[in-house]
Amino acid sequence: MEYLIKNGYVYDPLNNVKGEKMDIAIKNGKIVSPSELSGDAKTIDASGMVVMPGGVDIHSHIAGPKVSAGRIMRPEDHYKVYMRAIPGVRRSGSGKTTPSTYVIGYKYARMGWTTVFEPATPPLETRHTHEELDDIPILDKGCFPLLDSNWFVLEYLQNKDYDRCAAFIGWLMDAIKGYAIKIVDPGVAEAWSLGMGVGLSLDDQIPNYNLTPREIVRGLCKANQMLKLPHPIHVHCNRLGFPGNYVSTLDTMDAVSDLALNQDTPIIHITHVQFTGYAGDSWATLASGGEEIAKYVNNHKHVSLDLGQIVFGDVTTMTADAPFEFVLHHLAPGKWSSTDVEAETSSGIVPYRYKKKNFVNTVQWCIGLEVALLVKDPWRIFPTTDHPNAGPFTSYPTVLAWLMSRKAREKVFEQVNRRGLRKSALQAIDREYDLYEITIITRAAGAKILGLKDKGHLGVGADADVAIYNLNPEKIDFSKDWETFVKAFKRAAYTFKNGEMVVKDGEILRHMYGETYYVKPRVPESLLKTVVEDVKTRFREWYSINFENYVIGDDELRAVKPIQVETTLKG
Amino acid sequence: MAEEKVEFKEIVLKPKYKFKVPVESRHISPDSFAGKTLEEIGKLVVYEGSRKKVLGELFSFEGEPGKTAAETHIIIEGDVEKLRRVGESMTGGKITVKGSIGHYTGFKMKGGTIIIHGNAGLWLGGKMVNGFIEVFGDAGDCVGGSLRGEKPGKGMKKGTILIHGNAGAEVGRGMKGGAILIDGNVGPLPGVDMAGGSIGVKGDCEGKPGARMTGGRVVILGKIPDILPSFYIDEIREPPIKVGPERLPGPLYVFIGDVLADMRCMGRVMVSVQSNPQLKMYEELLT
Ligand SMILES: [Zn+2]
Repeated sequence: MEYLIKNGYVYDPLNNVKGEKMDIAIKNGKIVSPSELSGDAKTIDASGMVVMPGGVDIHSHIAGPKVSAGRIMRPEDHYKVYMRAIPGVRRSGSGKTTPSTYVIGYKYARMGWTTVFEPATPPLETRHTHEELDDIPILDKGCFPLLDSNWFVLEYLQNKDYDRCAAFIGWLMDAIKGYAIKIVDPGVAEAWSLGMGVGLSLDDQIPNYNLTPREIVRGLCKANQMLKLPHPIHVHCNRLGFPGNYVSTLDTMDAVSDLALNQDTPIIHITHVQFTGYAGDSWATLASGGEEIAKYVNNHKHVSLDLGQIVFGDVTTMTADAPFEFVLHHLAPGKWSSTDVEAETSSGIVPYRYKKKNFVNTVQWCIGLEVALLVKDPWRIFPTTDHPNAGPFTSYPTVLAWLMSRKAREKVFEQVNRRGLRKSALQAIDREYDLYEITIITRAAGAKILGLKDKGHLGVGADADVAIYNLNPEKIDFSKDWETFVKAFKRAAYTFKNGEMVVKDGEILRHMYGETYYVKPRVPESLLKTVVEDVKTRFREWYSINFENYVIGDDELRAVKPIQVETTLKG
Repeated sequence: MAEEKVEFKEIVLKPKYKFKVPVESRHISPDSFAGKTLEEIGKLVVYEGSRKKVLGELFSFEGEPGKTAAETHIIIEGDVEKLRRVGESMTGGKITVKGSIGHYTGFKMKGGTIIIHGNAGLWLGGKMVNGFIEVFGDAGDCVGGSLRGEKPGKGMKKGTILIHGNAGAEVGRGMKGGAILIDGNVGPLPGVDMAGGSIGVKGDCEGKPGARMTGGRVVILGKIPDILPSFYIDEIREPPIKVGPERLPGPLYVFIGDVLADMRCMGRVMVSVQSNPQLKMYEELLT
């Protein structure tokens, strides 16, 4: 099918298009020049509407064993929110904070998002992650394997054998179809398997290994650079969820600053910075460390951040940071799950509710927005809610409205805890994002930091993932009329995925599937052989499954999109 | 129950055929029927399996509803084990079932009366807010219960449920207030997740009474296999104890717990001394 999207206000930051009236042509799943269309092209009248690339989410827990465990733990999350099947159009599903697979795909597409990455998968259980990702309709996706407590990685790093460490990771990414290196509270899972690791600091010793979290972060950062992976190391900092942890966050960012050799692109991505942006020395004296973090990021180009912005209401916290969930379970008694993944990582799940009148929750709400508004470079900040940890992804329009409108923020100021509100600089900040910056943070920058060349823009040759919103930027003052923005962003007027119209007037039109991205680093033959031999010999003692069952074949996934990567490794 | 002085208008529902798949409607309640003509009632939505239908296709009607819910008496003739959610969220009036009925009868009901002459399905009076339910046959699992996954204390809040037959597992699951009285036997886990209210069982219990309870009381006059290890013996109570409209006679072993759910042990499990000689060893702990 061919389409000509006529007369829309086009926002395409990667091509410097800033709300100009333009036509966008789609043919064979790609953006083409309008002259290439045949006479059969269908015209979409987008006059008075905004045309953007499809949204790109770099951090949202949409698939894998912990997501599935979260669903099992929370039947009550599925009673009220559900989607009926429409035969021949869409399938059914349910759940708000832990939605089922179909619902995830449909709800993202309805908002105009088309690419989403699952940011934490235990390598051993990544087959499960892919099976769930395969089940999610419409979206393109990928996943980040957890590597900070992997025994092979720890051993190579302990021996300072960075070549083999990189080669191992290169092999692993290909073997389990992963996309980037995920680090969660570096080293903590190893400590947790011995019942330790609560509040582990950057320079604490990790049991069983002669290593500190700092060495793990630096080592994996080096390996990432040797492999030239498209995405920087994706780091959930130490001491997440502990008052005073903004210092650990600053230390973590600074721990790799010397590795950034005059490159302008980030080499470390700090995820859900809100959870690691706490000043104060107890919950009673909690305050925002957002200003310091933003100041560091403004002065250092090697760092990017995503928010983990709190949205008031029900959430299901789930993370590989099992000791943190142990702590949270004692703060919020009720259900709790804790898992140890052999030789690799751990995880925990606790349902939680953010309350407006709660002092701590109010401070948390402020921190995310404060950081987002103080960081000057929109290419290095991502408005996530760490779905479903700080809020469901369906709240993105609301979060964006808070960034775009001081009035929208002021409305919340009136409802939240007064004392909590004074613990950050948020009230004094007047900055309001414009629609161009919103396009950057929700699409262009995401594609850029993931290294997805065909995503996040509308230039000729790009994937035809397009979102059209019923918003007239010439008529609407987003600062005052943020509610219109929220309404338009909740339900896109049209969403195109791979050149197919999947959403019209905010309703799903068809059930189709996207692709799964993974990286295929080119590791020199001889080095690869040594590492695989290494893994095979110890696999029998360390794992409960056979090596052959660990590796995932291309044919096991619905549709794969391998990204070949030239490494700097030598044989 | 004090009889209210109300002039009821009666409307009789008869199933047109034997239902083979679950039939669900939250509209079979005095609140939905009140003030409507029979024709309007016949157009209310009902699901037969996955098919959307109207009440008129499944039932025939006689009589007329009252002007308000409180003046409306719905009589369902015949066995309708597949019919679910009758009387959901009703605020007043009366429903009489002359036969057996399916799940979620009186779910979240806020007031009024439901009388069932046969058996009832699962979650009878589940999450009930107030009102009165009487069953002359047996009831299924989770009488007055909260739904799966909900926090403790999200079950029945107030009101009374009387069951003259037996009941299934998890009677009063997550109950916060009100009373449930069962003349027959019950399955395992009566009062699981209970935070308040009282449950009385005149027959036997299959075990684990009061698991995870943080308040309220479970009284069992018949036999139980054992007491959970997270309960402590507190005393032997001689005088009778009130559950709903009745006083259940002593002497009763009084256990407090569940210590695993709440260290303060505010919950009470009371078990007949006569029916349970195997619990005599606890008496040594009372000196
Ligand atoms: Zn996360």
